[in-house]
Amino acid sequence: MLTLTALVKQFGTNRAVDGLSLSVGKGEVFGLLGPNGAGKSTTVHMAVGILEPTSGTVDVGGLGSPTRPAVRARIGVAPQTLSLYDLLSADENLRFFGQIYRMPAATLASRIDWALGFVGLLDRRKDRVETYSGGMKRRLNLAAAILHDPDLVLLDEPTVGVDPQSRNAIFDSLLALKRDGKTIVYTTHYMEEAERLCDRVAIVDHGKLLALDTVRGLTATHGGPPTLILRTAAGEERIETRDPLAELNRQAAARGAAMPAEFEVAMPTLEQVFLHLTGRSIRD
Amino acid sequence: MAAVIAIALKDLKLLFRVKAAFFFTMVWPLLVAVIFGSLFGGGGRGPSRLAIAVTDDDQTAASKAFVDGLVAREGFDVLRTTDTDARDLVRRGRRVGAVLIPKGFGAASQHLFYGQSPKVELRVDPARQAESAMLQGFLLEQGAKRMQALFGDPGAGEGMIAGMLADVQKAPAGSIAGQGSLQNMLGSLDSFLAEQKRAQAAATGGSTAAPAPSTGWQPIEISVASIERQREGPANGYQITFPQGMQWGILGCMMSFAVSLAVERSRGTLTRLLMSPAPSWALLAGKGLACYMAITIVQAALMTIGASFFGVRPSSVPLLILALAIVPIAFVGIMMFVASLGTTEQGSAGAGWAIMMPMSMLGGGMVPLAVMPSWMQSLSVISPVRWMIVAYEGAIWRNFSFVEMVTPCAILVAIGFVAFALGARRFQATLA
Repeated sequence: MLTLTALVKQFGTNRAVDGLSLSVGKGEVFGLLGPNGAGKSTTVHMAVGILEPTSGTVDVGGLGSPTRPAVRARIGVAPQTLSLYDLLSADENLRFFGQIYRMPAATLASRIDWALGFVGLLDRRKDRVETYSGGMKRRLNLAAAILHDPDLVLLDEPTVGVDPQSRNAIFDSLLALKRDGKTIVYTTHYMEEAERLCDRVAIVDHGKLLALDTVRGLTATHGGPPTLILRTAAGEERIETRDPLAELNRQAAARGAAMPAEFEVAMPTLEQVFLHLTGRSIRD
Repeated sequence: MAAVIAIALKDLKLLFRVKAAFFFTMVWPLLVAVIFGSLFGGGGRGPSRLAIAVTDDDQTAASKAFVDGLVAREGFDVLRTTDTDARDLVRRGRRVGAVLIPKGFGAASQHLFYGQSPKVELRVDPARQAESAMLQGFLLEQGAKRMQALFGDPGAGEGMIAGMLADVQKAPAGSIAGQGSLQNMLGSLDSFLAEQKRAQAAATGGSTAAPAPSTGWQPIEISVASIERQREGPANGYQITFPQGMQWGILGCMMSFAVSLAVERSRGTLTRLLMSPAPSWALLAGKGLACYMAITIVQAALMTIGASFFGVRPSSVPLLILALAIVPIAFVGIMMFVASLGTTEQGSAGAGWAIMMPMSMLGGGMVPLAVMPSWMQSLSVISPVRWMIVAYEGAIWRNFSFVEMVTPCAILVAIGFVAFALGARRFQATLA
């Protein structure tokens, strides 16, 4: 559905995206994970055609470059910056965006009803956006991205500054989109979001692709072994082991009656994957 | 095209939802036009009249007739009041002069050629010599009408002469200079008027109605011919200040839309628009269309108010419509250029006002073009505001022909297209 080939974007002496290549399959939820300044938003902007790559190509659904209006019509974007008109109501915002996407009037009316219902804002549709909470604005931002029923949805940090309730609401919406067969590219710096939502994750830093695989594959390859945690009266003992069950049995045989009653197996996380790949935490 | 219209309508909706923008595009221009128009003489005055105060201390039929005669004159604005108030009004400059009719006027009015003449006292500022001379002339004329009435209405004159003859005959000998000759003259006059009366009755088939005042003998007969002065300036102050007010409304619209592009950029809506299928030129065209429509609405509203309530009526409606259609073109272009000068709201606003305030000052937006010194009028040709005001004034009070209107309109169109092209190119470059 989306193919990026050797993408490069240079801003003066700063190379924001450095030879990025990846491919997103139809119906896939694809995560683009990396810290702030990794080049995620720049990649998204090139993927939708508002930034011209310094070199490399972008292809959307086999239709070609997103600089063509017909290709952009098949993409929906929820930018990181809330792209809404505060002095217009939700209804008015969506009506305007639908007109920009050349939606026929009759279709537009029903799609507005659907989109607002999808994100849970039907009861506030006549209120100006300036009266909305941050979470409500994020949900409306998502509604604007899917209003015209795009094949590819690009969500750039869609939960930034959002309360947990609204975040869960957004996650539920995205899972519903996934069930509907939408292809979603999801950029975030929250590991847990990528772990929860994404089929595959690309880890980027300094504009480069560091790794690309399923979450399980990434953790297995780059996350290090699982950790067996034994909780004793004196504290915790952490034992890295490739076979936690065998190690647990070995410990029990060795300790006998002194074997602690509490234990836990901690699987490697994407945070550890990132630390392994870059030598630093994603929040550094 | 649908995207262009959608963007234009959205921007118009946003403009009129911002209270400050509404104030600066509609309310402030009207305040400027009305307040400064009042300072410049307001709606103009009608035909000039001499404002005088009259005090009648005599209160006889003759004095009342005299005052009524003054009131009936078209050239006077007469206020009947007390002597004290009349003096005060003259002292404060509220009335040009005060006329006092003292006691004895009526009695003296019964005499001709002898005895005390009927008196009026004229109180006037000695510095107002022209008005004083004019007033004395009017009062003399009013007094002379008594004599005119004598010959114009022989029936009434006969009665007056008979009364005077009786007075002279009763007066002690030698008490009136030339008493004998006067008695003879009055007797002859009496006979003359009786014959006039008989002749008049014969001419009118026996009617005893008093003839019109203008018939019969008059000391001098004056006929008045009108020559209207050729007007070369505005009919009133509002015809200058309403174009200036419209200029402020246009600047308000222009700056609102110029800054709105920076707002779209900072709020992220520009990104969403650029991600849509609509081409980037549609975004700029939509802004331009919205700006054009907003300026047109502001112009039309202010002109309607000016024409309806303040006497700002165009000398040529077609030329005014032409001006109203052309002026927005220039300022849409300038809007686009100003929008390209800054990527932030503060940057765009600062650049815009830095350019437009001097242009407004130079172009007649603050000080009327007509009162500028010649060197400043020459310099003002570089200002688009000047050409805008010339176009409006040409259609309202300068009585431009179509050919004369071509110059300001052509300049405004050229400014619009060049500025828009430059601004659009610069703006597109910032999107790369």
